[in-house]
Amino acid sequence: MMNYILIVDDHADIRRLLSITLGKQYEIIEADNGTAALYAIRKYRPVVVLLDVMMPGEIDGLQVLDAIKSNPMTRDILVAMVTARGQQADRDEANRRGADAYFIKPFSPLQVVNWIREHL
Amino acid sequence: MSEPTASPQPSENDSLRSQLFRYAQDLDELMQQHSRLQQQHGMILQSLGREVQGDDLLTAILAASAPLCLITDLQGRILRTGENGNKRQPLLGQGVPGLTLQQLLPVERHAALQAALARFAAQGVLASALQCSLPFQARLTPNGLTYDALAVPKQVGGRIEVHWFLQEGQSTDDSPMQFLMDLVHSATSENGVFLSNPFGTIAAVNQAFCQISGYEDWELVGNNPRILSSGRHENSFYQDFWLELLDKGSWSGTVFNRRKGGQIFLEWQTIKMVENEDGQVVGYLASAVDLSYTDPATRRLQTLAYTDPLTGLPNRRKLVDYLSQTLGSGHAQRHPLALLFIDLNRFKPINDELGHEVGDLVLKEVARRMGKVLLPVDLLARVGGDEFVVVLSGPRRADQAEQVANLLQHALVPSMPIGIHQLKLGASIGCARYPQDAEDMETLLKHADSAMYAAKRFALPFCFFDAGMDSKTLPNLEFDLWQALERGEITLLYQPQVRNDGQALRGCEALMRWKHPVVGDVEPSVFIALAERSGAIVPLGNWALEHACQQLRAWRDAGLLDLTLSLNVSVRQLRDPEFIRLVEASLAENHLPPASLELELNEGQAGMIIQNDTRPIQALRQLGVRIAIDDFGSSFNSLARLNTLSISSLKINAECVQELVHSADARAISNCMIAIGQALGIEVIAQGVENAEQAKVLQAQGCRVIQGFYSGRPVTAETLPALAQVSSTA
Repeated sequence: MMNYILIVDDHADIRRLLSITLGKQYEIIEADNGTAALYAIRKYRPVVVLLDVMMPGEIDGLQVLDAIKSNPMTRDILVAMVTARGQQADRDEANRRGADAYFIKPFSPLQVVNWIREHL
Repeated sequence: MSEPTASPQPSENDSLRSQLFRYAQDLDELMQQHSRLQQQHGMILQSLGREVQGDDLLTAILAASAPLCLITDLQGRILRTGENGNKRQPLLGQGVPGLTLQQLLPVERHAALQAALARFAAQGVLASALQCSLPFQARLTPNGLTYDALAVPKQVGGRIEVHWFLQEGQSTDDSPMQFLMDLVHSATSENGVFLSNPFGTIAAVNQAFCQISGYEDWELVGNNPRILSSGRHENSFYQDFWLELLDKGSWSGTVFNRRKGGQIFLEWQTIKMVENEDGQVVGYLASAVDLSYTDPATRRLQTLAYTDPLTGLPNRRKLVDYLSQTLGSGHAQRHPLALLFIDLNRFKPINDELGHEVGDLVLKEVARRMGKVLLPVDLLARVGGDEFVVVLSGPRRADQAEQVANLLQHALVPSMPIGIHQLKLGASIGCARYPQDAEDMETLLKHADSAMYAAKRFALPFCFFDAGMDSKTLPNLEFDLWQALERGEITLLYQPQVRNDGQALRGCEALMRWKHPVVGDVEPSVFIALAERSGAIVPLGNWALEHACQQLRAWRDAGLLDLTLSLNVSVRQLRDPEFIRLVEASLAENHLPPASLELELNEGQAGMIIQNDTRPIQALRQLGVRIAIDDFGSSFNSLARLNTLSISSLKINAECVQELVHSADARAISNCMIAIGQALGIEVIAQGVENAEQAKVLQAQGCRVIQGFYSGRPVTAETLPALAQVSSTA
């Protein structure tokens, strides 16, 4: 079975960078908003979701996180928040809601790669 | 995007710019890492020595271990034989280089050979190795022998050479695998080698690979190399590795692996697929270099620090390292091992009398002989002057401690031709086992040492450690024996020899006793054997002779006129040109009739004298001294043969006497000896007589004199006259 990684970010360039970084080793799917992300999760069952917090639209990153972690079918998916919000309070909030990792933009691609490698 | 916000464009660009900057930083970091690794890699290759690069490592290791090696070009022309002055070249004459393999092989093999060479030509050094058998015609070997062969291509300068590693064929079905396993086992390089079967399961490892990985051979063999996996590589790494190996026939590169203890280390691996002539995969040969010490200087120092320069064996430090690693990692499953402590006997005199050069050659030869009877997985270390240690690791091997000790002893038996000398030496071996004898390394070593001392003390070839042994109470008896005389620790006791009819005293046998200041009374058979071996028997025997003669004089002065004094002599004494004069002088000084002195030789020694030189005995007989054969019946000499020494007495051995009452055979033997003695006019003395029944049987058979506990235990010189009185009044 393919190991899918879902990249959720409204910035196409960021999605592209991450896609280039991970695409050699994993199968990448992309979503530019929360609704598209939930759809992709149901359809592809990714093993990792890299999730931006602030996104335009009705569902933001934290709500996507809630949806993943509250559903027994999806709560084993590893979720890493990739966000510009670097406050400790933001980090704590994400932790509380079940995030598995927290990367602050601009993130180190090596750190992301290593984290995924360690956890897969 | 319904709600207009304060121009997102610049901030989006900013964040992208900063993100790209992070990428650049990571890239920089990666490049630095890469260049560091490249640098390391260069150093590693350098440290592997001269031309040895990548694929060549395997050929270099095998060249040092294969019994035979032929090097040909791609046309099959033999360029040279062996490398590094390979010593084991029993067959390949000087004339071989210049010939082609085709000339040495029967015509029907030419096509296959041609195909193999063509494949090497096409694929170069990356080509898989070829396993085949080469039925050489009589030209190369005396009768024409079939060899198992492994052909490996090697890049030399701009061209490809083919190295053919050869071993005499064993013509069995599993011969190819056995051959490859033999090659691996005998690879005594500091670099690891292992062989896996076509399914990847490890079939053989060499000692170095065990040391690098921290596993024992029995833990590795039968397992997949995956047990060494560090988890540092992604699955794709292994996929790529297998694809390349299967596609090209070989792979080399650096791999992170995990030692048994959990430590992760970097290894340079070269793996070669081995195919047979039909293109089937026979197995995979891999070499592994531990890159933990990448600095060549450090590596060389490490090697030096762990090697005994004389014998090339691991030294004490290596042993300690090995043990602490093995015992340290074994606490969970109590990995058993046996430690043999070996101390050479008679080495010191060789070193002292013949010089250190000879001593050094002896040590080298000892190391070589012992190494030959051990398995590659056993550790043999030289830990002191003439001290060696063998570690047998693993439950099955540890159980073989006694067998291995026997093999080691046997290996030392043949005399060693060193220069003009034919040297003979033996060893005392003590064994302690983990975990039953000791919980830690220091105790294990100490206990093995104690067991070795015990073996020395009791003159045994081998001894297991026993809780009662303590090295402090076990002094070196061989050494102490030389000083025993001066210290007055040696005394003489006298055992009466009694006439069997009227219990009158015929004489007595003088017996040496040694009371050691620490261990107390030393069993006579033990210290006599020690004295014989070390040469101390000559001063001891001479002292006993002089002392006993003085005693006999004293008794005669006290009125005991017709006593005969028996005394054991050793062949070593007889060989001493001074001995006859000493006997003569002792008799003269004490005004003793020569016939009152009886010198006893045991049967085996008497046999030796007959074979070599009977002159000393003849000289003694001319003096008028009596000669007795001791322990008659314990060896395989005929009395008729011994009688060429014109002996005067014959002593029936104690074992025979002990059986007399219960065994008709023993009675027949003693009867026969007594009859022959009577016929030849030789007095027969039965020794070891313990009870009246035995005395009665002997008397009925006509044996006139008995000696043993029944007629009297050995007594001091002062007590003997009293016994004479008792027996004469009885």
